[in-house]
Amino acid sequence: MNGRTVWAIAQKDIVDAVKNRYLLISLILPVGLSLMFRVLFGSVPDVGGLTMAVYDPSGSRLTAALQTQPGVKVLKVDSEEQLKEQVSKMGAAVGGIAVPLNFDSEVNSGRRPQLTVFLNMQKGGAQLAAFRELVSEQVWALNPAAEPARINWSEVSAAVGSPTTATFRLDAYLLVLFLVMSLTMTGAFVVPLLLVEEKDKHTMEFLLVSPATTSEVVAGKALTGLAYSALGAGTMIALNHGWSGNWPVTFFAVLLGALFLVAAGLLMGSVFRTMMQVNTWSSIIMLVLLAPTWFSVFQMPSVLETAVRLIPTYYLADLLNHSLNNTATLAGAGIDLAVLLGSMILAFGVVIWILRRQEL
Amino acid sequence: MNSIETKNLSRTFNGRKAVQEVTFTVEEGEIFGLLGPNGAGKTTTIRMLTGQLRPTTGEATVAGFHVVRDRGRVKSKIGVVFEFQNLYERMTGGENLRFAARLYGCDERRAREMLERVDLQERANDPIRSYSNGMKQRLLIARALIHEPRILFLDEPTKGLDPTASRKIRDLVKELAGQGVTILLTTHYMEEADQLCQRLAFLNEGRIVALDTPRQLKVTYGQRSVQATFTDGQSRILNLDHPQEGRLLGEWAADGRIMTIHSMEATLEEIFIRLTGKGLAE
Repeated sequence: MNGRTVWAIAQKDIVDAVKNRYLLISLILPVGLSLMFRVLFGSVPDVGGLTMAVYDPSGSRLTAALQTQPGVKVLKVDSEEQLKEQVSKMGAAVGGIAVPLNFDSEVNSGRRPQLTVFLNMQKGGAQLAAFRELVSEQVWALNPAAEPARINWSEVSAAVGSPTTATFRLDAYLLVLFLVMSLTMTGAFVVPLLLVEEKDKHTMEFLLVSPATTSEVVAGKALTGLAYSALGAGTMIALNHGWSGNWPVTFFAVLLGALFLVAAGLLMGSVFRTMMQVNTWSSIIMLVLLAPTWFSVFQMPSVLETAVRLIPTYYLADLLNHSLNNTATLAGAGIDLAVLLGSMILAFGVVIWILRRQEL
Repeated sequence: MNSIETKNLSRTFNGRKAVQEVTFTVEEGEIFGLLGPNGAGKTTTIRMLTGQLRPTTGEATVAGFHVVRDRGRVKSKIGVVFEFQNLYERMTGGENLRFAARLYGCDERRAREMLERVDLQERANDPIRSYSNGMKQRLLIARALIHEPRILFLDEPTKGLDPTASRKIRDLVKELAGQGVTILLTTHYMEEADQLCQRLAFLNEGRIVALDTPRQLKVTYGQRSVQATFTDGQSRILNLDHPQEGRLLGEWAADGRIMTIHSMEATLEEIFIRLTGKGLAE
């Protein structure tokens, strides 16, 4: 496969796609919707207003510095138990810091004391991210030359003494919904349209008498799809504080989801011959692929739940949901990633098989 | 040296024989025409020679390379102008040619050179949808020549064009042939074939029914006769194959009795009808 040829085709499509108003709308729509919902529901918390609890028996410079930060409210408590209580109460502190005795002198002597920081996992991802950033920043400010203290991050997921309750975070749900929508629209609509338009307008014949092979044409389309998937998902994550939570898992979820959906789009593009077919079938296929994200917040009959689990985007939505809420476990994420990887390999395999049959 | 060689080339679609045992050669620098009505197998033959379609049976080489086994090499040696104007409509003329240059690994400056060559440099930044059919056709030829191929395939290059645009395309084809480019063109316009082609093959229902120079085809299949119109307004057809009638024509001309003489040479269309029983437009 010739990289220059693949890149030439991708470059052409990346520029040309935005001149096609249907493609442009499908690329912009999910990002626009996510912005609109953010404005309408204000689902992303104002990270400027942070309330935190601090247990600091010896009154350190760190607490003093935190108290001077704009928009930060510091609740001083008298024991570590009170600290955990503040952190685990819904609507109270986003986090708590247990500062050890003689913290300042330990820092000054370079002994790197341990600072325990509790995170209230019932708070929004963006708030938690802002809290973590603020604490790290202020700790480093104590001695910018060397790490002044070791921070032990500790997650508190439920109120002390009360049963664990799952919380529904609208901001995370909407981000999952629009991320899956963006990847699906790019994969299942933009990619097949790019491929079928070449057939429909007879430009495929030109490509195939040029040095390009069928595989290189398809690879060019895949690259375009992945570029637009990355742009759409990246923009949405950036606008909605999607880096909070478990960002490596979010990254792999988006990557594998994009690869699977682009492969599905290539499969559709290999099978369909006219733009009309793409317009008709893509809508139906997109509805099916998006269904798992809609149903994830509702109680479903068991038959429907089983059916939804057959759709690979269920695992994408599940993975994103856990990663954004910072609840991804190795076992859970592993299954989701494995299913996405398997679906992607299967879809690419079928595309390659079809291409080999179509090759001269 | 032959630029194109075919031997018993055939292609079947779902049992229907589109091209049947077509054998011909095209010499380097020659303009060779495939003449026939719609559905005669012209485009299928070109598609097999340009690597778009695998022949069912038979062999073909282009620029010395086998069209199936060495498809990659064949593609680097040829330029193709298709029957349909398959340009990227949302892109400008310049963008279309720059994309082709990148695809062929040429310097993008070739795009500007080719636009100048087909006299479209003023319209380089205009979108294709604003081009006339003639301009699009010239741009298609420019695109096919971007990598300086030695063999050019033109499938119905003047189809649907007005007479002025058609003349420009024919002039361009002659100019290319003058520079040594081998050209294989298909057409169902007999005048175009007559004017441009050094040799041509009549295709009917997938078979070559005649192959020769236009002149020789006319000699072989036409009649050597003239129509003489006399000063008194009467006219008479004289067959020059009969020595007596030839002598008679000489005598009348010497006597000053003849006003005009018109050649009764058969047209390519008449020859085609004679060979196949149907016209080129059918």
